[in-house]
Amino acid sequence: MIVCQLAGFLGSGKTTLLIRLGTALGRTGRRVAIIVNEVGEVGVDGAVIESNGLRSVEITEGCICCSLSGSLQNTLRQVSAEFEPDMILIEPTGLALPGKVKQIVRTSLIGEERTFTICLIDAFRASKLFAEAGAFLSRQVDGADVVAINKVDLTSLDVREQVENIVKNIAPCTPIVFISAREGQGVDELVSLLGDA
Amino acid sequence: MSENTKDEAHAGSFGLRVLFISPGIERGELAQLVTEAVRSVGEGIVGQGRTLIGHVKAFTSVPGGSLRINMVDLDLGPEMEDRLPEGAIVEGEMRFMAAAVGLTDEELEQIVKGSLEPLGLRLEMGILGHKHEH
Repeated sequence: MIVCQLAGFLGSGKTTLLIRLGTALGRTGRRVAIIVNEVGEVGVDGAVIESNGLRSVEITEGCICCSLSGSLQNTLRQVSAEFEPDMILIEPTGLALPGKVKQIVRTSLIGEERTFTICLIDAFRASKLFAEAGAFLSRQVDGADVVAINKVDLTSLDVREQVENIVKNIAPCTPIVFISAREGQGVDELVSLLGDA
Repeated sequence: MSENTKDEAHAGSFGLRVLFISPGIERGELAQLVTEAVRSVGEGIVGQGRTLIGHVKAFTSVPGGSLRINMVDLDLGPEMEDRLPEGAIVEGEMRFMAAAVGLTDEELEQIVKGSLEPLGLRLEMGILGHKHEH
């Protein structure tokens, strides 16, 4: 079993990518479980995911990387025992730190073969976001197994290159994939990376 | 885990769940009303002198369909995924959520509730729950 988290700042496209990945992985015959957590307690993402034919477990009333770390551990144990998935996809809040989520997964003792972290960056807003909240975003990028630069359908090649340079300055050795979760571009590459994980 | 990342990011959030009924509203008008509400939340955030560093989203579910609206940038505007059914819509549920850096939960609550007021002119709405926490 692989535990994959889709990290990234508010509005980076996590839910859209989660739906793409969940659907694509399901088509390959893998049993996929989805755990979703978001910054507001009134969940929107769980309803969106279910409207796309996927089932999910929502964790509300806090953030799984800090105040609800115990809930995440309990949910991971329950999902892995009852559903026996090949893969668990976790969508943390846009304000979660993936390094902390990874640590919580490891201490859940669910017998995962490995964890895999995809960090999404919104290419359209990257320069603005890094200017306003650069330190926080850097902590999200740091420690990812792959950085997915999203919304490339909305950006020029020059902008993509600028965003790629920002990411390389933070995490020079981390692979980068250019995607459009909305259009489905690059999703197959991520599915392959997950398959190889 | 004593660190609270919401505090660390200086972010606020507010979510609201609403049930609505209507004598019959066309899908196009409903989509426009919700889109304008989402846009208004974004404008309200910018109106507080803040850049929109966050996310405003709404999900409406009605018998036979749904409407998803996201906004992360005022210039880009709201993005819509419209799966509403044809014909008059008489009932449904809406969920709104806003999270933004530089605003408190209370400031966002005020902005979101103010932005939903025009919906109340066309729909009979009952608020089921609203929460702030992380």
